Amino acid sequence: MRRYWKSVMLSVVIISISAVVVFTQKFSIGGNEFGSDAVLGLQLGLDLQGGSHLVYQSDLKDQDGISIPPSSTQMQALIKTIERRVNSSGLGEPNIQLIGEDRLLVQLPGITDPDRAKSLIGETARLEFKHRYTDASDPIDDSINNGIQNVKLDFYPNPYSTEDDSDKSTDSSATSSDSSTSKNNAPDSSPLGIFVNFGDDAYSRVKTLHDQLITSLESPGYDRLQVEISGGEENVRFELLGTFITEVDNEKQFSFMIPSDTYSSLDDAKSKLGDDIDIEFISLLVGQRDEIIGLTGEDLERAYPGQHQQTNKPIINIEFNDQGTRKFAELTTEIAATSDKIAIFLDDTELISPGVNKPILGGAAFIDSPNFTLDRVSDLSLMLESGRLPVPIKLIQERDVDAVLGADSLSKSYYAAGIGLLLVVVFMVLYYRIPGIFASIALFCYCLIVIAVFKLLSVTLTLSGIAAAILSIGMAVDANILIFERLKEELRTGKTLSMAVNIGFNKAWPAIRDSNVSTLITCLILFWFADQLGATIVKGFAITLSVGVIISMISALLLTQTILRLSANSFISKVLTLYVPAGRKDLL
Amino acid sequence: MNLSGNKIWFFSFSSVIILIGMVFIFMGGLKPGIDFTGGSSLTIKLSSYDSSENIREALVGTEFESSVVQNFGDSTFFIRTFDINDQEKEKLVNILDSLTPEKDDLQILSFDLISPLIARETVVNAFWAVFAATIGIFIYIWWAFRNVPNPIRFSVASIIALLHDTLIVLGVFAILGISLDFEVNTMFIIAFLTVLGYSVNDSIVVLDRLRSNIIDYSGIRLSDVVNLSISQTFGRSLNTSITLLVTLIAMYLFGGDTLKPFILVLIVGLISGTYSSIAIATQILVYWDERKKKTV
Repeated sequence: MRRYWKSVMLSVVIISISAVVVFTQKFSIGGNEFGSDAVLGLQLGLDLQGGSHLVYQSDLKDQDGISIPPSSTQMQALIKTIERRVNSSGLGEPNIQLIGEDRLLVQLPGITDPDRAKSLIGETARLEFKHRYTDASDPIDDSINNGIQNVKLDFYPNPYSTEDDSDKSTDSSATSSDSSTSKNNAPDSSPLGIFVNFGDDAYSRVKTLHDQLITSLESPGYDRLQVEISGGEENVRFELLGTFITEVDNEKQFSFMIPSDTYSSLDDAKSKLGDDIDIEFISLLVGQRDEIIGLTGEDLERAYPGQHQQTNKPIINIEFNDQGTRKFAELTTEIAATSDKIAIFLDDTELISPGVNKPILGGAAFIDSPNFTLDRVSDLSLMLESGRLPVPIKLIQERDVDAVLGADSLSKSYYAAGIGLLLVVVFMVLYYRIPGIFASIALFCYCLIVIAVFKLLSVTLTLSGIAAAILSIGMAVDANILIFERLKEELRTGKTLSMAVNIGFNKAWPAIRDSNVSTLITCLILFWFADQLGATIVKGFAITLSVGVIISMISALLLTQTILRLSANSFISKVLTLYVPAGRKDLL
Repeated sequence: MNLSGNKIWFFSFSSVIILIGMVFIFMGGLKPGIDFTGGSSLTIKLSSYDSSENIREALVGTEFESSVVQNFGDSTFFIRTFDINDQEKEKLVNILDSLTPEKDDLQILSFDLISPLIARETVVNAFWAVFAATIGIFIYIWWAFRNVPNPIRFSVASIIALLHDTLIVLGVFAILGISLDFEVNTMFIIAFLTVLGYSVNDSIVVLDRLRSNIIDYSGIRLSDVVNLSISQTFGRSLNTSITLLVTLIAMYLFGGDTLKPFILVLIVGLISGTYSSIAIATQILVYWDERKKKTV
């Protein structure tokens, strides 16, 4: 017994760790996440959880229409583009792999609308450089100022409190009967407004202008309307955001809020401005406006990550071709030293909007930013590249599996595996008796270890993988049978049980080794075959069978041997007939 | 057990089985699925619908006329057609959906599309995979049996046993192709390669016993050593095969429909593999040995 304590300890440790791994749904070691929400925390393939498996091939052609291979940067850029598109669509997280040099495997687990995903993925990337105007000022159309009909000073209507007020006034007429009185009685802190009536044409123009001001609030860089009011000795100029202009219902009237620090009260304003108030709309101050200038991905020669020569900070280098250099020089000359920016868009999503320090005439520039990291810089470079020379792709393989079918396959497979395992145990115990029980225990531990290894290696379980796992159970059983048959023979020659265990085991080993190695060779070749094609089904089978075969060898070597040796030194060894197959007592 | 004396019968029996299989192969029994030809396949569930005949009729006069329609039972149908694009897929789905009075009771269980480009590569790669696996195993056995005289004969014997098993599997599948419309697809290739691995696995166990017996009983006629080795490993061969067979039958009966052809290949391969390890691999060694002696 003492001689075997090492292998006993090792077995116990391996089995305990495996049990913990298998029965803990999810866990993390050193920041790596293991496990999933599926049964026993296994990773399920698309055929078991439903989803789409798409293989794309680059369809890149040169000017003469001859197919050319894409560069690895282009493929990486393509992966980024697809990832970004699918992620932002809410269709779930794609798993994208490069196969060979010009193919992509896109896996979309659990997706229910593969056609939408396909249209997102198949789109060709569009890169655009736009001139971003900041704080530009547009003159106001004269017809607005000419169309002013009536100007009046009063409290600025608050859309929310006015509604409240009118509600109250209808509910309880006692409080006030006239809304104008309530306005006049408002506390002094209420903002003041200039109420302006417009003619038909001017009204519709103001309305359009107002809508534009409101819309600009949704993006950074708000537009403002510059207004000047005059009256008496006063002449005040201020800027208004869209929210500080209110249309007064059905009267072609707008109210423009006067900044609250201008006058202390309505009376103060009235006395300073007098009765004859004038208003003039000076200009529209544009916070931010992007203008297409015809500089696109086609004009870009290269985009790649780099390092700033002085600060060593990550930067993005961009180089333009001849045409691009000209356009870029024009743009940067116009923008340099202003607060305008170059806004770069990929598929209508803004990537980055750098400013310009000085005109860049040579066509080569770099972009830096205080919050650039190495990852961000390489991501952005790839995205720029993807728009530079977009790689058109075509779908060459598709496999969609419905989630219901997947779940059905999964439950059927578990069921079949359970029954198969049970039958094997029954057969082994009936035929081999005590060693059969040991083999069943070893087999159970074997399954435990296999599942644990699957979880630790994040092996994706597919339908073909389950088939492979069951096949590997067969091989594990075979290893045990080989050992028992040899054991039986050694017992027949009159050896003691512990001697028979050792010799029998050593004699069975070459057969176990050679047969399993030949299976491993097949697995290796299958894996290669699958890798070439992106055939995940075949790959899953090869990986699962390899893991199964390797563990089956270890389990025969360690578990079965240890259990047999332990039993050889225990009381069970007294009853040798229990070690001999049923109906073969005569052989002893 | 004097199995070596009956080797001519074993060879003849196998030849007959293989010949029958060959006839079915030449009759076009190995029906290539879309994995090898390119095309699309669609598995649909049409609730409370149970006739594939009506589906075929509905497709007459459309571009999908030449599609293969199979009834999987349980209102589930399999339709194989050319490599359709998104618009064509939509059209096909609409035709199928209009078969039942209620709209939208069609459920697409799975959809597969293989371009002819991929299909061609699959054929080429499958061929190379089988070839590479054979070479790899040949070399490994040669190395593993380096301690006995003429180790290359062991390699050749295992490879012939392997060829025997693959021909039998192909033949049986050709028969199933003609009688049950079974198709050869990627899953078949996996099963095929598994059989290949198992066949060698099984041969090695028998040959391994022969290897140790040849060393232990040098001077005794090879046919006697072979008979002894086979009788010694017979129990193991039978028991392993039975346990594996039991597991596979359980999977065939209770596993999903999609796995059935796959399991069937494994079952045929398992039986053939067990048989060939006893009746072919070892007997070829005996035959080779006796022929050499006659000529000397």
